[in-house]
Amino acid sequence: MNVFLSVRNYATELYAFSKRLGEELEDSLLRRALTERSYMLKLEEDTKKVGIIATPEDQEEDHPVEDATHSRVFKALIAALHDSSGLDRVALFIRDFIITQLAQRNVNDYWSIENPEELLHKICRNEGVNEPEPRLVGQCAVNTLLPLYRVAFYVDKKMIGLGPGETVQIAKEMAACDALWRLFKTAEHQLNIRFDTIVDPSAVSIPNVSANEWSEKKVQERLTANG
Amino acid sequence: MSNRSRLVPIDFPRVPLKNGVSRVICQLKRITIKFCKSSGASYGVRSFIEHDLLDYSRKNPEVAIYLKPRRHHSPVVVSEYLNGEKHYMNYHNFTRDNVDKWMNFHRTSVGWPKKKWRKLHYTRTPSVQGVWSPFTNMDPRLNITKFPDKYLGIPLHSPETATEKLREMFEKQKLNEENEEKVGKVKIEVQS
Repeated sequence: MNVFLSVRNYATELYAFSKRLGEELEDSLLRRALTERSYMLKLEEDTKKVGIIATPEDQEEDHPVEDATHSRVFKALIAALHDSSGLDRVALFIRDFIITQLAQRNVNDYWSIENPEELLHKICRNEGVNEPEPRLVGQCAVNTLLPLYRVAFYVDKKMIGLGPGETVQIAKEMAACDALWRLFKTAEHQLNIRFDTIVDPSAVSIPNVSANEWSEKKVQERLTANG
Repeated sequence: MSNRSRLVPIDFPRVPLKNGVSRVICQLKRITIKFCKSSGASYGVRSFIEHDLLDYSRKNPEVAIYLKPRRHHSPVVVSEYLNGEKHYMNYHNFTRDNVDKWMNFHRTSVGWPKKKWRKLHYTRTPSVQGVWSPFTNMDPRLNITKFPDKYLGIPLHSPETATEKLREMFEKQKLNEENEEKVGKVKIEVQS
């Protein structure tokens, strides 16, 4: 953007910005949040040479903006929102702008389970059920370049997970992953994140159960404790 | 002329950054109206500014509005969007009503460059039951069958053999003869 051709009013832009977010932000706090430290240092240096005192208005845009700068400014913006509107508004802001990015996405893409079979056995032992047993339930085009195997895990003759793969080992891992996703309720047909939930940010939050100590009972305890 | 030769990108309509999942954000961030204070071509734009612009800015506080008087120039509206796009539009000889409608159009736009829509709807899950695999709707009997199987090995659609055709023709002939006999009997009964 050429700075000389476009004449902008900083105050108008800031007002429009806070209205766009749907938040009541205090002007001075917003100005402080959107002024980068590196810019202030540069301004100070430049003005020292000339011998005048400059105000941090009409910021020039340096492109491309670094990712680190973006993230710092975003955090500063959240802090400004906290100071002007309180913690409840911050909780809603984070829900509306960050959590919603999970919409239409598969949560399992962000967490690939290492050694899923071992974890599945461990969880079954924690829960006190019988050892899960893998079975080859289907195979197709076995002696070709593109074979397909299908493995399912069974506990007491009931299927708990089903996975495909180009070798039996891969199919077994996929089946174990599928069983774990069904347990954690993150399988594709179970993913249903509510984006209109109102969470009380001041309530004491208990950290999630680690995968190695996971059990249905512990999850239920945490759900009731967090309301 | 095809769309490819016009260099129009082809795409599905999409929503930027999950807009509207919880909060709806107006994608128009800045609108600049350039107009002439005296020329007739800017008459509609001038009357829009005089009567409707304050209402427009009050209703849409998230849009920064700039007015630039330009002597003896055609009126132009520059709309800038959150994705960095900048659209120019000439408002030469527009009526006040027309200007009002186009300003509303800019406000409700997402700000994509001009595109040809492949379809007007888009989904990431086109199939509810999932992708087809060789095991979809498979007969469970096949799990325990040993191949080669005597009955499963029969071709599904074999053409009719000459013997079968002849036999069918013979059966048909036989039926016809029986029918004729029956009809003859009925006639005799009616006569007597």
